[in-house]
Amino acid sequence: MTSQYTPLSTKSSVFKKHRFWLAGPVTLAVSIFIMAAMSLWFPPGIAGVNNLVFPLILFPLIWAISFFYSVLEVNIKRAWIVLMLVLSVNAIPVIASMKGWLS
Amino acid sequence: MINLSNISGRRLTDIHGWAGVLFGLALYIVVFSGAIVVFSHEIGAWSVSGHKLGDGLQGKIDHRLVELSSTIPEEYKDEVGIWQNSSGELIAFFHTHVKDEAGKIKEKGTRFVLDPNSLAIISQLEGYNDELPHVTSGFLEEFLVKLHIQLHAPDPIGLYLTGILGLVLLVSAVSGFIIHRHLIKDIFISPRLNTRLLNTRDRHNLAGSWGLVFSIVLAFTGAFFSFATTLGLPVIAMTAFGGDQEKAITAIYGEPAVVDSTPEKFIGIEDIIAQSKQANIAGSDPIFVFIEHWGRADALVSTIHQPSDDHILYTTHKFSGTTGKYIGEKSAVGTQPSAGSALIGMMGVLHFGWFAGLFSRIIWLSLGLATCYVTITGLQLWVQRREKEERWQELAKLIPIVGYGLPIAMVGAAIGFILTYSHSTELVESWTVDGFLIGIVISFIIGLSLRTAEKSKQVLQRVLGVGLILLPVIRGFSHEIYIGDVGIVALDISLIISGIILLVVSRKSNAHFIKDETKSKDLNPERSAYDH
Repeated sequence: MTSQYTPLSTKSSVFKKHRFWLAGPVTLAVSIFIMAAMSLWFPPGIAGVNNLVFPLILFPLIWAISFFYSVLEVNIKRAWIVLMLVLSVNAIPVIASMKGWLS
Repeated sequence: MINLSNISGRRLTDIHGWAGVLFGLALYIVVFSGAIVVFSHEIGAWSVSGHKLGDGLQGKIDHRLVELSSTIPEEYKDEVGIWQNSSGELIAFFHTHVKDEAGKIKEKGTRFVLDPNSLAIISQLEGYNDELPHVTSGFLEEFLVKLHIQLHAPDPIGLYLTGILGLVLLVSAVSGFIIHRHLIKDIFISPRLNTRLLNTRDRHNLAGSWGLVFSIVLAFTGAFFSFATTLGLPVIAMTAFGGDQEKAITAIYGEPAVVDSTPEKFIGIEDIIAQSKQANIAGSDPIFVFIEHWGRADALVSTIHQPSDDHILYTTHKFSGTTGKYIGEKSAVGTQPSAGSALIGMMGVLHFGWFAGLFSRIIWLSLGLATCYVTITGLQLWVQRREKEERWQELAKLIPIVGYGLPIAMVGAAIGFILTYSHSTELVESWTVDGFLIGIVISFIIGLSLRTAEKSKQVLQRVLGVGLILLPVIRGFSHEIYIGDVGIVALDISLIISGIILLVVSRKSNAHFIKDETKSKDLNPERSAYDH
C-alpha cells in the first residue's frame, strides 16, 4: 500500500486513500477519546482539577502526535492497528463512565 | 534536519503545501488580526482619542454603586462585575444566572455604563449578557478581537473554525520543521536575487525559521482556547460528570467556601481596591472587580490584576464582602494552587505575550507579522512554481487581495468607527462593519481589475499606505486632538511611518531579479529536494 507513493496533488481522489481517513476522522476520534479518558485516570492533584485541566490543555498536542504518527508511519496496516487499539483502550472507560458502570 | 524516508518526506511536503493552499488565506486572517489585537486595548483607547478624565475604578464609587443597586431587582445582586473599558468608561453589570428558553444557562441582569468622572449613567440596559448591545466606546476593539477569535461567525462555529486553523498552523509549522533541510543556516540566509522564485523561497525559509517556535506556541495555545470550552469541556462533562457542564464548571472554579444568605451590609470596594494595591498583595491597580452575593453574610470580592514586574500571570485576590478582610490569592482554577491552574495561566501569557509587558507584546506583534509573511510567501511560492498552470493564477491574484485587503478593511472599520463615534450606538456599529466591508470590496475591485498580481500588489500597497497615513488625520479632525496620552501619539506616529514605508515599498519593481524564472531549478538542486 505504501510502496508506491502518489502525491496528493494527482487527480486520484484523496477521499479514497486510507491515510486520509486515518489522519482525518480517526485521528480526531482518537484524540477526543484520549482527552475524555484522561479525565478519569489522570491524578486530580490536591486542588482536584488537574484531571480536568490537563486533558483540555493537552488536546491539541494529542491530536498533533496522532496526526503525525498516522502520516509518517510507513506501514499503514500497523498505523490502523495502533490507532484502533488506542481508540478502544480509551473508549472503554469513557463509555463505562457515561453508562454509569464506574460509579 | 530530521531524516525521513523519501516517501514520508514527500507526503509531509504535500501536507505542508496543501495545508497552506487550502487554509493559508484564512490562517492569515486569524494570525494577522491576532498580531494586531495584541495591542487591542491601545487601539481601543486610540479609537476614542484617549481615556476619559476621572478616577473611575480607582475613585470614590461606593456611594454610587449602592445607589445603583437599589434600583435593580434583588436577584441581580447575586454577582456584580465592575471594570473600565479602553475609553475609561466604568461598566457595572449586576446579574444572576438563569436558564433561557433553550435551557442554556446565561447571565441576566442590568448593565450600567458610567462616566468615570461624574459617575453619571451613560446607558442602562437589562437583559441577557450576550444579547445586550455593545458598549459604543469599545466597539472597534471588540470588532477586531472578535475577528481574531471567531472570524465573526456565530458561536460555536467561529471558535471551531479558529481552532481548526490553529491545528492547521501547528501542522504547517511542525511539518515545515521536519522537512526543513537547513534550519540553522536559513536563520541567517540573505534572500537571493537570482530569480523571483528563489527569492520568495529564501524569504519564506528565513521568516519561517525565525518564527518557527512562536508559530508552534501560538498554534498550540490558540487551538486550546478555541476547543477548551466548545469541545473539551462538554466532552469531559459528559465523561466525568454525567453530562452536567454546570457541575464540571463548579469543579473547575470551586464552590464558595461558606454559604450564608443572611442579609448583611456590603462593605464597599474602595477600601478593598486600596488594600489590593499594597505591595504584599497585588501591588497594582485591579482591572476587574467581581462581587459575589452583594448584601449577604457570605459576600466575597475578587480583584483581578494584570501581570506586573512581580507576577508573570494574572492574579486574583479575594476579600470578605462584609468586613473587607483579605482572604488570600485565588487560583485561576480550583480552590487551591495546582499545576493545572498554573498551566491555564501560562496559556494566556504565551498566547498574548503578556510576560514582559510592552517589550514582549512588541515581539509578539513582530513574530505574528512574520508568521503572516510565511503564510503569504508560502502561497506565492506555490503559485510561482505553477506559473504556467492557468487555474493557479486565480490564487495568485487572490494573495495580494487578501494580504493587503485585510489591513485595508481594518483601516476602513477604524474610519467608520471614528467618523460616527459621536453619534448613536447603532450608527457606530453599522458604520464600523460597513467600513470593513467597503475595504474588502475596494480591495477586490482593485485586485480583480488589474492584469497581474504584481501590479495589484503595488496599487493595494499604495491604498493601504494612504489609509494608514489618513487614520491619525481623521482621528484628529473628528475628535479633539489629544496629546496627553503617550500611547495614542505613539500609535499615530506608528501608523504614519507604516504608511510611508508602504508607499516607498510600492515604488519598487521586480526588475532586480537577474535570471529567468524557468531556470531556477538548476540553481541549487540540493535545496529543491522536498520543495513543492
